[in-house]
Amino acid sequence: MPFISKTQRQSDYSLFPSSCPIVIDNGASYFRLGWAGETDPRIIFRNIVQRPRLKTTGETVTIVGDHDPALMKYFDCTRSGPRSAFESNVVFQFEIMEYILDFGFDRLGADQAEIDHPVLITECACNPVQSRSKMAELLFESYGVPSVAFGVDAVFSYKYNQQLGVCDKDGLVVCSGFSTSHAIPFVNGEPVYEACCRTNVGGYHVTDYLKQLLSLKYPHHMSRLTWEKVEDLKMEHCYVALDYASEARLFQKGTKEADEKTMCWQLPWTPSPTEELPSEEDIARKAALREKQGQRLREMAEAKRTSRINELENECKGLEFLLQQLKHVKDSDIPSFLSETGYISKQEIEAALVKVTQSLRKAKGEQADTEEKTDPSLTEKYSMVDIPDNMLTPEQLKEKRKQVFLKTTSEARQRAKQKRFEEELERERQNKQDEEKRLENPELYREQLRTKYRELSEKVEQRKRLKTNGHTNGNNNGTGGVGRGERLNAAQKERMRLLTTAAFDRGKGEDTFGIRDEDWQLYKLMSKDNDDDDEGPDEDEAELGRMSARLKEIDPTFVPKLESGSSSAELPRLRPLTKEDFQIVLGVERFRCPEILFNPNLIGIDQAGLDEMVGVSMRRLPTRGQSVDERITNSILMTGGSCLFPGMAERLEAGIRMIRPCGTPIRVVRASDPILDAWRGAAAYAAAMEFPQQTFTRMDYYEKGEDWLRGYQMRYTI
Amino acid sequence: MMIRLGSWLMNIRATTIHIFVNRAKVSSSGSDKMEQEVIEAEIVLPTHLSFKKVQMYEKYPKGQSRGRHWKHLKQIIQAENYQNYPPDEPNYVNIESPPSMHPCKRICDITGFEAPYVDPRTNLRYANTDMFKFIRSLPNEYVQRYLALRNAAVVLK
Repeated sequence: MPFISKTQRQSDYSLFPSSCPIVIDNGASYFRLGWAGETDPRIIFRNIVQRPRLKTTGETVTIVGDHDPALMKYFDCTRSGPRSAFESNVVFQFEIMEYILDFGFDRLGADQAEIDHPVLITECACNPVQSRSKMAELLFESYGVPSVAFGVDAVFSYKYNQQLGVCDKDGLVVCSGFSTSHAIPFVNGEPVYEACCRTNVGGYHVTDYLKQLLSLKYPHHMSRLTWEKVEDLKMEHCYVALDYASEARLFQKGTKEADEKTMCWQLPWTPSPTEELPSEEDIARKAALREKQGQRLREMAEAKRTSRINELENECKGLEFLLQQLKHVKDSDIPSFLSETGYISKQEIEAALVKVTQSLRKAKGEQADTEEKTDPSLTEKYSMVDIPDNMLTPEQLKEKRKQVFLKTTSEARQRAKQKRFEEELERERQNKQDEEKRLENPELYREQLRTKYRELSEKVEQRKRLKTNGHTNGNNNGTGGVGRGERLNAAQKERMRLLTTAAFDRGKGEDTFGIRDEDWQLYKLMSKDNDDDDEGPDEDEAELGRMSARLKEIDPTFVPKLESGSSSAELPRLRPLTKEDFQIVLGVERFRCPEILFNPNLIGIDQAGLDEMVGVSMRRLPTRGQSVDERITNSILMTGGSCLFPGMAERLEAGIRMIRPCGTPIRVVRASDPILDAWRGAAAYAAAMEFPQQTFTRMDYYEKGEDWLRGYQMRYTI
Repeated sequence: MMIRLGSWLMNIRATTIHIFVNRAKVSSSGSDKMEQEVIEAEIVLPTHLSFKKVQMYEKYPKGQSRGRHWKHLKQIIQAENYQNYPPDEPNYVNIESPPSMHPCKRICDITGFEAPYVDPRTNLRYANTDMFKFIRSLPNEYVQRYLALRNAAVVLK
């Protein structure tokens, strides 16, 4: 693993004299901090900041770098993800940068009133002066740094390797970093920025491309494909193909070699227990349980009923007693006697009594006889109905209207009852027919019933699905169903569609709306009342219920479909999930993703790739002579995290050979440590005696101003 | 108690020093409530650091335009006015690589194989008939995501 964080707090800060510079390699992916003259940085962490809330107190806290993910459970990170101070490879967010520097200096053990050491910090080639001055300002103002120097990471890496003898004083560095790649030529040990070039492609793009490809290939495992995991996959498995096309052809043909190159990441998977049918015992137990629950409910209902009957009986008795007592009371005394009870007259008490007895009867379950009783008295009850209006007094007229109303309602009730009875008869007849058919040919009958049931259930299901999610694929609107449209059911959606089309069809050619009568039907469809037609259980569902009951009777193997959530529960059950469903296979992706470094076109970036960049850089060199060119191509150094892919050097060499004239000596070497060499080079540089001349102080900065800072460039050969 | 005292002090226009002392205390009392594990790992950055001349809470006071606007790279480059400088002087913009001279490699958007064909309906490149069937069965959302991979998706603004 090339990237390992080191965030142990250092204890020897006070041992370093204030002349000892602090060296910072401020890369877009990793931040490295240490002392000049040492071989390794003391502190290394990912150059990111998170500002989550503490779950316990809700307080916003700052977390710099990457930490043990197990500890992150105490924080609520939903509001803010990890943020970087970089855009491309330029620092622009200095608030985040300050948090990062805070953390870095804190871990280095700084404990005095200010950072009393010169600071050498890396930046990208040709850093905009705004970013440079903000960084200097931050270091001077917030930390009290006495002097600052800026250098380019790729150049430090080259210089370090030059010292090691890996490359010569004339040469070229190809640095493929996190968000950009650079090619910088060297003449006489000094970088020639006029000839350098930058492509905005780096390790970030490779990881992102891999992540996108995998999550498109395995949409079910999207949650597992976190940035960190994909980064690991990239570092472990990706390689650069010498020739993309031929390598891809290998995979297309499915050769043995390709199979060997295919990697497979097995996600944790436990075979789901083979589904067993519930045993007899289970069924019995469940039935018993259900029976018990039913019993309890029935008991509860019974208890409630008896208590109500008791209550009513008591009330009844009380009222009767009151009436009895009233018999002994003089008529004139009745109001005063009744004032305590809350009733006003004897009639009212009687009415109450009648009401109570009626509800008592109802509670006892003998409600039927009231209706029966009304039957004989029908004629005298509605005595006035047949008498013409003109023969009645106004009072009688009122009475008559009441009677007419009562009569019609009771007749309607009667009719409904009749209809119910007839339906019952019809059903019985049907059942009998069914039974006959069954007896004739039980097998055929059962088969028929089953197919009918299937058809019907499908129909019902289809309708339900339509009602809940409308058209099965949202292909026509393209947006993938975001926003409000998703929550409407089919009918509502249709209505929305009608409304919008009606609004937008205006002005498209001739307006012929209304010429045909059917046009006006549109308003009916648009009206809001239109979509409440799905109230109540519909016919098909009732029929379905009947059929399933019947099937249950005659077919012991029949299992009715689950009522709710059947569609969601059934889909995955179509095929038991296997081990293969939890595998993430890396085939072509292994070399497809790093390929973007050589062909940024693949991700839509129209710039030269790494190999071409070398050519561009050579063309841009101002002082040219064949010997210089040859010396340069003879010492090409690869550095930066994205140079770690296997096969990189070979591919780069092949690519450069295509561009350069025939017979040019070409030597491509990898830096001794593509990741840490930039820091090491900087640390060695800062330890040199002449380093202080390359730095500038706060006074210099404020006296000379921004224009000077724009031209500031350090000499690397000292 | 300290917190209440501190806020009271603030109310009667205490000097800035008082406020800073108070803030530092608040943060330490906050960390008392943190889990032991978190404190031991020291992953939370302290709000007060002795080596700083200007503390974070002084620079970016709470509640005051928290998300201060930083110029984005595009704005930074614009403000640099590179057009006013001689073109042979290297700067962030002119060191950028030119477009590639190589013929554009066309690969299947799904498989990564060489793709001789383009589907006119979805604009996806594909390698063979199987892939053609596959891309025709893809929902539009996925088509757009595949296109977005090479920056060719339809962007509605």
